[in-house]
Amino acid sequence: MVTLLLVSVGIMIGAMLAWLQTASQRRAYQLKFEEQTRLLTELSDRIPAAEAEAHQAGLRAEIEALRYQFVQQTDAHRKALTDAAHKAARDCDESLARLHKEHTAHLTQLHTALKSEYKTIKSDIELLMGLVKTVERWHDEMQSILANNHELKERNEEFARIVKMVIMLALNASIEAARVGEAGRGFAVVADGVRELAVTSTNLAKEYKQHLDKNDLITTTTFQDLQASSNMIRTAVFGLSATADRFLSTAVNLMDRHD
Amino acid sequence: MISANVLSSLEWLFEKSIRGNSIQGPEDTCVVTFQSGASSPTETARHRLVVLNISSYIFRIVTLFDLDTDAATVSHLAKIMRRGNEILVDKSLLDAFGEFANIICGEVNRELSMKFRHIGMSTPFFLEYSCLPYVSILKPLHVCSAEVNINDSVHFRVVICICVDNEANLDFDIDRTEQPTVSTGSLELF
Repeated sequence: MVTLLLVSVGIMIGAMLAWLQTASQRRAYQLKFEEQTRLLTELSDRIPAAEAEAHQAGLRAEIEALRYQFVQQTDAHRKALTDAAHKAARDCDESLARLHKEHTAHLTQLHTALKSEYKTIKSDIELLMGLVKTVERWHDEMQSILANNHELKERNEEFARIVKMVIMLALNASIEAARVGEAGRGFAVVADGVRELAVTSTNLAKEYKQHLDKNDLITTTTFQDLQASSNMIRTAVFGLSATADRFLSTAVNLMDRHD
Repeated sequence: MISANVLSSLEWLFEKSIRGNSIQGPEDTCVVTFQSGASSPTETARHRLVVLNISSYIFRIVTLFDLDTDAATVSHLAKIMRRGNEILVDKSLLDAFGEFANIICGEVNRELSMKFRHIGMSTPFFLEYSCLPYVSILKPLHVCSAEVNINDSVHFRVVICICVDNEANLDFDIDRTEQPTVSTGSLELF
């Protein structure tokens, strides 16, 4: 572009200089002609007619020669200018062709790089979509945890039932010990001890169930958070994929338009 | 920290969704009353607990639906879920409960996605009813319950727990000029 600009400016300057030179010469010839005409008028009263006529003929010849020289110079300038214009046009065409070639090569390179990057992005997006599989794995694992919790709860309930029966047995033992009287006092102490242990176990079973309920709640909601977040990420990735498609399409359209 | 705008916006969104998706037509009445906290669970073996999660980068909303399996609720549910004369029992009843929770939270999720470009929702899960008193273990910054009364015969409860990341400030406002409308909503697909 700079080259083109410089060539154009050069042509303009050349044309201006030629025009100035021609105008200056024309002015000089005009002045000389006017001076000669003035002298001729002055002399025409003093010089004989034949001599004046001869002098005028000489002057006419000189003027004709000057005119011829002027036409020759004008033609030469015109030709030089035409040649310069043609050369500049050729140079411009060559520069434009070279620049077009360079730009085309650059665009092709850009197009190739863009397509390659696009393929990489699409491939990464496809891989990210594999997140669904990961969530399915989490789901299976969570189901295992919940099933295990459920089993623990069942065992705990069984344990609580047994403890309840132990309490009943201990109560019966205390009653029987009381019926025996003094001889059953020691047995009554043991029965009370067993009952106390059973009551403590019942409380522990209750607490254990509460912890299992908390486990269920936190496991389920944590998994759901992961599931919801993965849906959120999938939506974001779909958005990125659509943006990548639009970006490539716009870039290709621009390149095609440029071609 | 959660701003007052967030709390009122979420309550409005849930109320709008509950009203729009819990009744069949204008002949039904639906009264929604909000109260702070999870409130005491009703100790009954009839109740089922459905849990659903809406997550974004800095917050999540854990929603627990406390649903009764009494005849009035089951019959109303079959009606609004367009199950015709199908008798909802066991798995079909649980599926209907899950779908119902899904529709209500789905609408809230869609409305929130207008504010948050990236937001996602889980599928519904069932929990034992005895899990309900322990929502504080999720460390929610705010818990409230929507007590829903339909035609004075169907009652259910929606417990909403808003959990926000540490040191994050949650502040948004929903345009509440639109009046709650009666609509059937649509099912969120996964």
